[in-house]
Amino acid sequence: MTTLELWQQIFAAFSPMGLVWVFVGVTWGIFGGALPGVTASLAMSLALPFTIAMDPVNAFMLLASCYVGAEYGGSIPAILLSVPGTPANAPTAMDGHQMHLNGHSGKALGYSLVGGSFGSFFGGLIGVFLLGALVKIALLLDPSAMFALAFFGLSAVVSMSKGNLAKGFISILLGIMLGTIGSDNFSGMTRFTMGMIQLGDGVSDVPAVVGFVAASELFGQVINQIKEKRLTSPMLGKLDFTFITIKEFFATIKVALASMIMGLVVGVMPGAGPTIASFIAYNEGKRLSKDGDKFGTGVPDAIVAPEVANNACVPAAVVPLLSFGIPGSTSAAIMLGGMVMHGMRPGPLLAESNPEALGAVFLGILLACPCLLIVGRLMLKPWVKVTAIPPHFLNTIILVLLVVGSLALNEGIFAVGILLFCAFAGYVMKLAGYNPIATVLGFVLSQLVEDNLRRTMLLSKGSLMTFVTHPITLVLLLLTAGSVIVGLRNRKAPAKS
Amino acid sequence: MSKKKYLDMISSVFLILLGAIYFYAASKLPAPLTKEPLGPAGFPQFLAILLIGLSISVLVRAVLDKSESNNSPTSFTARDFKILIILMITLILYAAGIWYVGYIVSTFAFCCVCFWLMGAPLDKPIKILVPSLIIAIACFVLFGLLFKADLGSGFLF
Repeated sequence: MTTLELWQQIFAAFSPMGLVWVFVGVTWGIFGGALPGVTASLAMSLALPFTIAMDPVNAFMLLASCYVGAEYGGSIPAILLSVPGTPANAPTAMDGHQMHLNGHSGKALGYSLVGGSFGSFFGGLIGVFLLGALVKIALLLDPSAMFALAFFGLSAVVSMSKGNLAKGFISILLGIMLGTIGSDNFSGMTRFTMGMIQLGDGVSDVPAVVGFVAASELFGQVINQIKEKRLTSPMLGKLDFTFITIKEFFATIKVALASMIMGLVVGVMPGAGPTIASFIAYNEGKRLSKDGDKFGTGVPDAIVAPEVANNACVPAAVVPLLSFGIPGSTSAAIMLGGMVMHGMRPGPLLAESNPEALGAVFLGILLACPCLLIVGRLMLKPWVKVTAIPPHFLNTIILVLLVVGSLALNEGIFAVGILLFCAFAGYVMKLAGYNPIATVLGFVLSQLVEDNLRRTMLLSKGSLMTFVTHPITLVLLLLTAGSVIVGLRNRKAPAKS
Repeated sequence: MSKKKYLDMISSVFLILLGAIYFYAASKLPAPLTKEPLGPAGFPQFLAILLIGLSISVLVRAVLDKSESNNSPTSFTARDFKILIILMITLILYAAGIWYVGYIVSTFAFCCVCFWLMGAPLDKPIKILVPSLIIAIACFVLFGLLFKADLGSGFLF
């Protein structure tokens, strides 16, 4: 299908009713994403049964817009409560929450909202124009390149770690080790499960990420609250609803554009997904931003980078789905389910058999962006007001939401056990000067690193030369080395000053 | 109050032990049937060696570093530790309660305990009981009814 034909399908898919469904999808997505434990894929899968009776075009527009809404929705609790709604919003919590504590809640949500809309819209446009090129990029990435990309992601630990770098590496190693628990994808044997059958499929990512990032942070707040017994919110009187200006967003455009490209590239790779894109974009954003040394203190670039990247993953993740029938993320897999339910076969023949599906998905993504801006802007004030709730109420509500959010995964009480274990481990790690966010980074990249390393070694019959003979792999490894050197230099500079 | 160096020493010894156990568990994995260079044990063993090496470096630094920052006390007190243990026990009891007693009753009780622990005034119990009930029912409606989550099936509801 040519770009012109795809545009024709996009225009043909437009209808006033479709627009209504996009609004519904975005609102549902924001709401779902904002609840800890309810991921974008879960919000989409809950909407799936309602789409059976719908016209396929409207159904795909609803699902696509729900996907866009959920990726933004997860940043709301990340910013306001330091509790990421989805694992992809974990890097946003670092600076977003800090900006909120600095008294700029409206602006923090504004950067996330505009950044997310920017990432999805322009990512979607590029997806439409470069559908064929993105597919070719995805095909060029062999296991060695995928390993190099994951390794590139791991290099973020250098810029993320404050103080002792060895502790940063240990934190990331612990995450990778946690990711090795469960079935080995090559031999099928289970590893390190300690006889627990629930660990056969590995450690569930949502409770683990929420535990390490959100619950460990919350533990600190709860302990302080129990000691101080404050009955009014420290944010009372400091609430600020001021939205960002166009000029303020354009000040972050360099980081936004780079993050969008990273989101698109990571998004087209099956098995990668928005969480990895967010972390890579946060790290590279730190390198590219003029305020790179201030990351962690509430810098706009640090919010825009992960949010643009994870939203740009949305159109990118549907490219391999529509081209080969291979979903680029779990949420794209739900979209695949929706297409199958409507009697379609995603893959190379989809463009000929059901061209309207391609148009509907991309139109859903493109229309979702202005809708996201409208709905997100309207809901900004009520979201911010949540933080004025007295701390003993708010902390209790969040604790309940974390536990119930883990139960929402339908993995039983074991998911709550994982949450509590990771929360305790994350809190103790923080006390001892380790970095639980680096552990999350290692955890989400673990499978990608190990599987692709082993696949590469298998294909090259144990030769390491393949890492330097494949041009894309070599470029990615050089970029990793460059990123590490710049990160180390940046660590030394403030120490000297 | 504990010193930062003692915290580093304890954590690194723990991590060395963890690395050794992980290495041992990996070495007990059966050999792969295919001629795969790394096998299921190769990658974890490599991780374990790295972990032990890095932990030793933290341990050595903690022992040898005479700087003021290394010998400064941490902000974590014995009272904090006590509160952390109470919080963990409360959460474990809550999770167990969901499974054995039922979701709404456990959430209601958990909220009451949390409000009390976090300083809600006890002179007006209605201000604790009503919000606890609202949170329990709202979460049940949201997750149990709307999101169809399995919130456990204790002998109560």
